[in-house]
Amino acid sequence: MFGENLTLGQASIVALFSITVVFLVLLAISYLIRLIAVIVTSIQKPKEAPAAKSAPAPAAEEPAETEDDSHLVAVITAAVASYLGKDSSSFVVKSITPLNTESDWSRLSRTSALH
Amino acid sequence: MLEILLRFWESSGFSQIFAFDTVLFGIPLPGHLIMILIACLFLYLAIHKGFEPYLLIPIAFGMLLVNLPFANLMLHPDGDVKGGLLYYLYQGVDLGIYPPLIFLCIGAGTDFGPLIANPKSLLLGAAAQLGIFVTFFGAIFLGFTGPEAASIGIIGGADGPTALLLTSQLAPNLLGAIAIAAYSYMALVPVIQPPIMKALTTEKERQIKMEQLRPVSKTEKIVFPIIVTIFTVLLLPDAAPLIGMLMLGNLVKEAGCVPHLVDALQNSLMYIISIFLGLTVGAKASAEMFLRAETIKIIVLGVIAFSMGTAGGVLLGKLMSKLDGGKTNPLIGAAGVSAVPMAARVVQKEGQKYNPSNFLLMHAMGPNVAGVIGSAVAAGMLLLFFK
Repeated sequence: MFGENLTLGQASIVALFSITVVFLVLLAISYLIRLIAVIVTSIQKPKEAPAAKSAPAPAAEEPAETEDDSHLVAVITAAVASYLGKDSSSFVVKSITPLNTESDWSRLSRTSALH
Repeated sequence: MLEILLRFWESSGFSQIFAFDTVLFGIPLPGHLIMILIACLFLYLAIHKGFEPYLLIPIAFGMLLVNLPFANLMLHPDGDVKGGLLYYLYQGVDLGIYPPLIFLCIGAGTDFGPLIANPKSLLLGAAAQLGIFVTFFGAIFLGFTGPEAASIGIIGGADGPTALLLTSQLAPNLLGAIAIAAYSYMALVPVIQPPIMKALTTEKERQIKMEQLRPVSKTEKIVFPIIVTIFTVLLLPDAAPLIGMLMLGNLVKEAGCVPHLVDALQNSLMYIISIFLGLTVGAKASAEMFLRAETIKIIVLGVIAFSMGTAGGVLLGKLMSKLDGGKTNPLIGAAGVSAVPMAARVVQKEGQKYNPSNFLLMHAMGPNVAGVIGSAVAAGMLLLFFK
């Protein structure tokens, strides 16, 4: 558009015009992101309600003892997330109960099924 | 017998290597020898000091090879005479193939999540492109032509592939110097940025803790590259090779159903292209092209470009912080120059220096990846003006 040699005036026009365009393009993209977020959440919301109920499948029914288990919950949430290959925000661990009833054999078969 | 020996001597590189055939500031210098020594210095820095070794080793070796007399690795084909090996490999740079392929690989390794969670960071990515245009203006002032000034300015984008693509299209004779300046300053981000960040912010601003980012759904991450490509390429077709490849790489990653492709892009292809790109870019630094007064000007302008870009980002960060009542830590603006992820790491480190409980890394990744898009758009603009 311009020749090889620019005057300082032309250079400042190029510089000002370009930085303005860069700003406007990125501003527009930031609004596009907001738009995507609005559309995606509005589509996903009706689906989310039943999903939230069925998601905490790995949790057992009985509540654990009342001691502070936040660390344990974090570890188990991460383990479940990693096993399911899902983000940890996509399910809720509602309760954790130790299972003492099973025999060593059934525990072995369960862990080997994981691998 | 003596004649044979003399012929052999004349055909060997040793007869030429000490020739004072390069003139810098009116002083004749043994150009080949100086360039070989510079190449060896870069090899030392890369291998022993660990300065960007993945790029600097091939770049320095390319410099070494091209400056050995009579090896003719960059020889143009002429009639029946075939060209040199590096000449053919260089076609990937000359035709603008390697840099977009690198962008494809970068896209596959980039998480746009922090950017999607905080779209405002795009503006910080735009502000940090200020360095490009200030330097462009400065280069015109110093007597460079328009296309050359544009290529020097893009050093401020702090994005290697973008700088190489633009320079190979606009000012291929400056490619060696610009590539070396760009990659050196990217390695020096932890040295260049902190003093500027400190000078432009108050202690209180640097201590600001930012709210945790919202989680971003998979759908948003998949839709993002598609929409950005459609919008940006429609508006600025010249940015298509870079933006298109970056977003394709990202889509492949976010789609989640082609893990082998992601692995190939993030590892194998990335390293394959890097070695060709580094080698041939280094091969553009022959004595007659590199040992010139322009190279010194480019190196000085390059550091101005980096500093102005950092300043632009931090200053807009300050403005944002004022407008949103102190929710934004202005330091994250510095990450708006691309240099992913180095610039974001610098922000994290600086932030923690002033407030040990501060974790700015994810907040800085937003402007950081926005900077990649910003410099690609800026490159598109400059191509539009000067191609």
